[in-house]
Amino acid sequence: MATESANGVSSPELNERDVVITTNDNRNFTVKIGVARVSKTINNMIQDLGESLDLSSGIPLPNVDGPIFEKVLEWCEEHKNAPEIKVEQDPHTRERKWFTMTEWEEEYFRKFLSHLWDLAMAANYLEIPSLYYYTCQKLAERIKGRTPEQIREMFGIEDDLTEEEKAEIRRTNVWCTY
Amino acid sequence: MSRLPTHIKIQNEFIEIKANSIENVVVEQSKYNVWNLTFIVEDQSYFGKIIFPRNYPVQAPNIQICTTPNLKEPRKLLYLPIIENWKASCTAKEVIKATLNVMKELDQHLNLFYLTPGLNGLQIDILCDILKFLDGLNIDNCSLISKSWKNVIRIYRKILPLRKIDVLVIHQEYNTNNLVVRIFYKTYPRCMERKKYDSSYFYSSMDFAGGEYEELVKIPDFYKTPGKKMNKKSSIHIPEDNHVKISALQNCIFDQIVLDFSDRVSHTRVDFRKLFDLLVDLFGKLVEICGQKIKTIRLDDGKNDNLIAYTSSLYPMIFNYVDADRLHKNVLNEINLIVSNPDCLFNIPNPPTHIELSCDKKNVDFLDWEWEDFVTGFDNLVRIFDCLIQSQRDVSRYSLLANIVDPRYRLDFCSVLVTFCEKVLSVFESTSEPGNFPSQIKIYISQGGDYDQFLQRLFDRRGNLDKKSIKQGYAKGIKFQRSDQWKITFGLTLCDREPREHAYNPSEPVEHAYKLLIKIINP
Repeated sequence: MATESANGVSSPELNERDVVITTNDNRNFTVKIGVARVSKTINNMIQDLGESLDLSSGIPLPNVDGPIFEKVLEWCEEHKNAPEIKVEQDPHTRERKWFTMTEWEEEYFRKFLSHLWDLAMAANYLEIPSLYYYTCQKLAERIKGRTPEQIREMFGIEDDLTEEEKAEIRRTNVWCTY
Repeated sequence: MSRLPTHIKIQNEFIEIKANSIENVVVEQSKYNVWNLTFIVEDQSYFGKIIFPRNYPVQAPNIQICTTPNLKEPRKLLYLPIIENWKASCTAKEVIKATLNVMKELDQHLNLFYLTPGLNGLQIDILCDILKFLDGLNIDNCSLISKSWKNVIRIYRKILPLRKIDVLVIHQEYNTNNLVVRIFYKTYPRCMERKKYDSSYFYSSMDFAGGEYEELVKIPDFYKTPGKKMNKKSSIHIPEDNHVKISALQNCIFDQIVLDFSDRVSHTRVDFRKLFDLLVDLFGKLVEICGQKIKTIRLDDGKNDNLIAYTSSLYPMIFNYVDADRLHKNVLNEINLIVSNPDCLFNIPNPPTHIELSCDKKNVDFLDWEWEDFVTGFDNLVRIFDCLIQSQRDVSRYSLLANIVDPRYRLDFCSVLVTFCEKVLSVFESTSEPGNFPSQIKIYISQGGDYDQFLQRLFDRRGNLDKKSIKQGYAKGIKFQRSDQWKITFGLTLCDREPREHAYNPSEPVEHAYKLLIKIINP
C-alpha cells in the first residue's frame, strides 16, 4: 500500500493536478504540481506528505514573499521539463564556467534586474539549481569589471572600511587596482 | 598496509571523539545510519551533520550545517577549506573543529545565514557562489567593497578562483644585490635582444621583445646582513610601499617560474654567492606557496664562471623538492593513515612536474665576442649533465636545453659534440637505473657543420649497445638499445628557418639551423 501511494505521488497524472502554495504575505498561488516540483524543496514536501497531502489546504512557504515567488514560478513554468544543469569549473584557475543563456532567460533577468539578490535567495531556499546558478552568474556579470565604488552604489552597500584598512588590503594584495 | 573497513574507521573515530571530547560540542552517532555523525554546539547555536561517503577517508565527507536546531534536518552544505583540500589523513574530529572555527570566524564579523546590512541581505554561501563565477582580478577588487565582503573573501579565498599568470621571473636587480621578482602576463623572452641596450635603463629592450611585466617584490641584500632589523613574521622584508608581500602569490596560478641568472650587461659581474641564501629562501618559499600550481621551473644560466658554482650549489635545494614530491606520491597516503598528527606532513610542498634547465649561451653579437665564451656556454651543458648524473637521484623530471651559435667554431664543434654524445652514451650504457636520466637533452646548433660525419662517428662508436640508423622526413639519427629494452635516440632535425622578428618562441630560436634531440625511451 505504501508503495502504491508513493507511486501515486510521482505519477504523471499528479503533475497535472493543482496545489495551493501560500507565501509569507498570505498570498495563495494555485500551481500545477509538475511546475512546483522544479523546486526540490517543494518536491520534498510533496514526497514527505505523501498520502496525507491535502492539495486544497496548500503548502506554506514562510521564507518567500509573494512578488518574488511569482517571478520564481515564471521560471519554473519555462523550465519544468529542463534537464539538471551541470556546474563546471576550470580545473586550474577554479573559475566557474559561464552558462549560455537562452533569449528567454536573458529577457527574464533583464526584467528583474533589480531583484537579483532576492531571486538568488529564494532560489537557494527553494532549491532550484538552474535559477540559483543563473542568477549568481548574472550577479557576477554585474560585478565584473566595476569598481568597488560602483558596486557599492549598485547594491546599496555601506562603505564601512577605513582608509587604513583599504591601504592594508591594497598593500597585501598587489592587484587591487582601485 | 591494509586499511580498516570504512565503517570501522568511522566507529573508531567516533569512540576517539567520545573519549577526548571537543569543548562545548556534543557529537552523536545516528542509531540507524553508521555513515552519519551529528554534532551540536552546547549553546545550541549550531547543529551540524557529517555524512561520510562509502570510500571515506579517500573521499571527503559532506558537512551540513544549520543554525536553528528546531529544523528536522540540516540542509545547507558548507564550504570548508578542509573539505575542498581533502587529505586522507584528516579525521572527523578535525572536520568538526574546522567547521566550528570557520563558523566562529564568520560569527565575529557577521551573523551567519541571517540577513546582515553589510551584505545587503545576501547570504554568505550565495556570495561565495557569485564570486566563483569571477576571475582572480575581480575577486581581489571586491575585497575593497565592505568589511563583510572582505571577510567572506578572506575566509573563502582558498576555494575561490585563482589569478592566472604566465611567467614569474626571479633575477638580480641591475647593479645591486637585490633580488627582483617580476610577473609576466605574456611569454618571457628567453633570448632577449640586447642590441638596444641603454645604460639608463637595464630593461629597455623588454617591451621590444614583447614582454609585459609587473614588478612584484624586491628583496634587498641587507635583509641577510646581521645587525639590521628584520621583520620576524615574514622572512621577506618589503622596503617600499609599491612592493608587496610574496604571500599574495598564493592566490595565483603560474605556468612557469624562471630563475634568471644571466648577466645582462657586459661590465657587471654578478656575485651569486652573495645572493645564494636569499635565493634559496625565496625559491623555497615560492614552491611552498605555489606548490603544485606551477607547471615548470626554468633555470636560465648566463656565461659567468661564478654561475657554474652557483647553479650547481642550487641543485641540491631543487632536489629536496624532488624528493618531497616522490615522498608525497608514494608514501604520503600510507603514512597519513599511520600517523595521527597530520601537521608534520601537511607542509611538504608539491614541486612542479617538469623542470627545464637551460644552459644557454646568450646572444653574443652585442658583446665583445670572446673565443672562450662559446666553450663556457657549452661547458654549462656538460657540467650540469654531470651534476645531474652524479646526484644519484631521480632526475627524469629534468630536461636540458642549450643554444649554440658559433659560425667560427663549427669545424671543431663536431668533435666537441661527439665527445659529449659519447659521454652520454657511456653513462647510458653503464647505469643501472636508466630511468634516472634527464628525460631530454635539446641542443640547437648552427648551420654548416658536417653533421653527417657527426652521426657517422657516433654510429661507429664501439660498445655493447644495439644500434640502428633512423630516418624520418628531414630528420635522421641513431637509436641505441640496451639489452633490457631501454632505448636512447639521437635525432638531428633541420629547424624551421622562417625569420621572425618580434615573436620569440623560447623553445625554437630562429638563428639555429639544426636541433639535436637526445631522448630516453622507457621500455
